[in-house]
Amino acid sequence: MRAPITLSKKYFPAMAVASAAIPAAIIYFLLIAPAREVLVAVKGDFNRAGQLLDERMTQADRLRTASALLATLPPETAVKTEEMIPITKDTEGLLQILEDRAAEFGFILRNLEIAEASEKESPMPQLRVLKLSLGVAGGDYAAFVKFLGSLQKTARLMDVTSVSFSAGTGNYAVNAKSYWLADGARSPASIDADFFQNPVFMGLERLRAELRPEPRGNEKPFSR
Amino acid sequence: MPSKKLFSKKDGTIGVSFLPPEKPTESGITTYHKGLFAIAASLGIVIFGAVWVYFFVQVRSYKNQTATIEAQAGRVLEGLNQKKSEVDAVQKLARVVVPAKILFLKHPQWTKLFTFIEEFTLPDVKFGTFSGDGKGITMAGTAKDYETISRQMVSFQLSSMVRDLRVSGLAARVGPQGQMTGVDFTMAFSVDESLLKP
Repeated sequence: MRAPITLSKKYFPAMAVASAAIPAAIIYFLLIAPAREVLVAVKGDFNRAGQLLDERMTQADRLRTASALLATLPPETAVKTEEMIPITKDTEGLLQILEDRAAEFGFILRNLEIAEASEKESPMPQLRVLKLSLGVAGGDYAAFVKFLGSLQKTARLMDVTSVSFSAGTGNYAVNAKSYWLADGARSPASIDADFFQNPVFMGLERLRAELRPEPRGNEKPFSR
Repeated sequence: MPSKKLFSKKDGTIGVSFLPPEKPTESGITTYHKGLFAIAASLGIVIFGAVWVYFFVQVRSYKNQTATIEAQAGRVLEGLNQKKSEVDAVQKLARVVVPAKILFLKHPQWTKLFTFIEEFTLPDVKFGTFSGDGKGITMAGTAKDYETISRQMVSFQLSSMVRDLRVSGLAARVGPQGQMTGVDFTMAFSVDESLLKP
């Protein structure tokens, strides 16, 4: 009878550990692990809700700041800002601006090509580019420089990319780029107040006259 | 049950105990071992219970806090929706301001370039053609003589805005009496980007 007694005593610690570990593991996997998973999920929801609240609070703060800023701006400033980069190509607006600018300095707009550049040519994803290629004639060098000055301060942003002319002939060629906002361009929630103090912005002028209403109707639209 | 005689050497008395003698179990596990095991098992149950209660309380607390935060976020959103026209006005401008700010950094000022050319061109030089793309400029013109062309080159090169100046197509104009009436030339150079920047 001695041998089994010695064997049980000898393995008692292992048996004790095993008989404690097995129920412990069962309890862990049946109760604790699922509870832990639930806790992790709930904690995730809590964090997401916190982030959402933070975002909305920031949005509300920015709106408050931007609204306060807008209230201090003259209405003309907001209109000028929107005119710089319109939400459409506004080709008709460009035609009007270019013809008016040319006429103001004694030029006639001899030729004009307006082409939409590919998205790759856009300097920023939120912008689309219109390539303008125009020729003016009739004025002298001094008038042409004034014409260029007028283009660079027109509220509808126009970046002149190249210029060529022959002073003797009075023909001047200009290549330029104008912009409009790409569809789906994300809107930042805040406005940089310093922007309205930027010297370039302050130097821009709304030189576009409203389109004059023309009488409609022409019975012979194809006759010479 | 048989009684057990207990002999005490101290006072020489004999006691009788009717309790059953403690005999070792078959496995050899004593009450001490059993006690230890019971304590460990109870402790385990208590720990697991405490952990489970902790999880339960935490989950409840997080759920309550999440509901409060979501309600708050909902109220903020409601407030934003009520100011939709204001939000739209701000966003309309903000969409323009961000790219415009970047475009302003390079908004070419061609009038500055022509002012520069006027400032550095000598009185005896007349340029007839101009072509430039903001980086490189080519101008063709006529000077009084070759020396004037070289002085014109020096004049432009004195400015830090001009680089890589080249002259080509030099050709003298000869009058009816064989005298030189001027020299045609073409001048090309690169200009510093800052010259066109606002």
